[in-house]
Amino acid sequence: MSIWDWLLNPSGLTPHGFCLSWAPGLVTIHVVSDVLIGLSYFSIPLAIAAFVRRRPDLQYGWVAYLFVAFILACGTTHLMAILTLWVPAYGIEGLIKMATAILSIATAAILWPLIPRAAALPSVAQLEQLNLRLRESEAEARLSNLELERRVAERTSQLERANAQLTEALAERSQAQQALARNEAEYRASFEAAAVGKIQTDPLTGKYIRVNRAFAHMLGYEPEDLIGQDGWSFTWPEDREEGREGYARLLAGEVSTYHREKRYLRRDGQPVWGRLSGSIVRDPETNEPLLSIGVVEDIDERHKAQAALETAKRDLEDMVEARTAALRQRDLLLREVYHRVKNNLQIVDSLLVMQARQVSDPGAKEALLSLRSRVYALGLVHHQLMGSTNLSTFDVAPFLHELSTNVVEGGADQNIELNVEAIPLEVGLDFAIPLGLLVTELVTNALKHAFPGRPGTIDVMLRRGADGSIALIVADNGVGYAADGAHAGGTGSGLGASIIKGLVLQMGGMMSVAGDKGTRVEIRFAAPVAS
Amino acid sequence: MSDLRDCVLIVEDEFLIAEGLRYQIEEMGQSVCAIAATAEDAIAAAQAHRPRIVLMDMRLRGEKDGVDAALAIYDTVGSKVIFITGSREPATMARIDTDHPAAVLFKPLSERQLRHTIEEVLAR
Repeated sequence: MSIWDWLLNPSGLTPHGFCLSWAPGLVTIHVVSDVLIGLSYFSIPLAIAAFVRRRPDLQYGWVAYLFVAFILACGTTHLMAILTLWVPAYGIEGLIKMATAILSIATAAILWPLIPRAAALPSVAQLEQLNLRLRESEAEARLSNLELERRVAERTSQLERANAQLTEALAERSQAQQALARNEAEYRASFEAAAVGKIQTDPLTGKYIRVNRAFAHMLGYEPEDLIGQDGWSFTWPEDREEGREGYARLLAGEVSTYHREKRYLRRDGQPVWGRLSGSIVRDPETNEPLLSIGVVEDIDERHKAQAALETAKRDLEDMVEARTAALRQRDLLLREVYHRVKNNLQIVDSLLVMQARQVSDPGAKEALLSLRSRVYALGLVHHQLMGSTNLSTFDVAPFLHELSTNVVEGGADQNIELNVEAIPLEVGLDFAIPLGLLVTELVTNALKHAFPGRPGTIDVMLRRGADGSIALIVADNGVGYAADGAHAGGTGSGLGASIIKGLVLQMGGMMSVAGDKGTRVEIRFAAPVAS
Repeated sequence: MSDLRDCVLIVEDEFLIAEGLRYQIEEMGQSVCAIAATAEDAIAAAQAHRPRIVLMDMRLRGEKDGVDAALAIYDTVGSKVIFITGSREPATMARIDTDHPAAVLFKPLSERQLRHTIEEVLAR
């Protein structure tokens, strides 16, 4: 028997319908049921497969495909049951049932151990629960997220504030640094470019740390020549000791500033005068001296000018002193001369006295004695000159008083009253001598002729006229010249008269004589050129 | 002092001036007891003659001047000293003032001044 036969008609068996005696009812029930079952069994796995395909996330999906295969196999057996009603293909039916059995066993065998694992899979409720919790925690998370964001924002704004502050502080600091740099630059510029000398010295070693051009040039150097050099070596040797003493006081803090005018030693060996103002920069905490700072003004020109001025002043003072001494010497000599003149006049006077005693003729005796009063007038002028401060002029008023009194008291035996009235007038020798001699002559004349044996009054006056001229008036209340033509000035022919005429002429004066009430002689002349 | 004599001592180193003074004093009716030219002579003469009045010139021959002589005479004799000076120097005047002068006359002397002064001093 062939395989084909075995599959479709093994051993001549009868179809299954035969068993049913071909009863139409039975056959129909079987056919309809198997068709429906077969169709359903084909439909169910298709639906399962479609479902599984749509849900690739399902775990154990392959089990579903096992079910698909097993159910399809079951459906096929039902279709084979329809076929075998009419065709005895029990071979094929057996093979299909065997395949279905294998799939069934496999499915059954796999399904049991799968149960605990499938049961472990979360259920939908669980998932929903989980989901809910997830949402809750999501909300919580969102809340905490919000809080976090708020805190982040807060921190951010804090940071921004801090940042702004920091930026501001940085800006301030930068400004301060700029200001510092500007100050430094300004200081440097003012130090370097100053017209006055500026120096910075190490207070301990005394060496120059920094000097500017003005200072270096004042000494005939460039700044770089001086830096690092001992400052004292540029001070004029004679000024060093005093300078050191002052500087020591400054260093010790006894004085806060230090001012000196001193000489510096120029490169060419010459001194140059500078005015140094020094001070010390100290550590604010330890008070240790850090730097000594000096400003040096070039006062050489000024000093030289001052020295020249002082020399000139000294010369002038010497000259004034010499002149004063010369003047004093001149005064001394003048006084000596006046003294000698007076002494000589005294000798002349003595000679006249001695001579007068020798002569017996009364006229000659009188003439000699009248010479005495003229000599006295000359001597009195010198006496007045000697008493004046300038030794060249004196006030005429006391002179006239003394002179007239001497004539009147020396010559009169009777009671004659003398009135002298003179303006104050400074006169010199050239004016006083002729004036004195005139007064002597006129008063002597009045004494001799105006008062024969009777008392009377003589007035001697010196006046200043409206035109500035000077008038000398000698007047008496005596007999007048009409009664005795011999006595009036200028009218007589004796020595006295010619002396009067000559002196009036010498003085450039004008004389007028009135003789109606006593005698009045007035001589008018220009005022002396005041000394 | 009662033991002084009524005479005048002239102290003057210029002979002519001394003579002129002597003439004038004698014409006044006074007597001149001596004339001295130096301070030493003046002191000696004053002590010898004890004059009531001394006419004393300031400038004298020798080292001492009239003031020195006058001081000595004032101390030892007590005469009244009338100074006669040609000078009006303040220093001279101050020096004279230390010496109790009876009077000071200036050269040139007028007879009137001399007479008035002597009469006035004698009257004291």
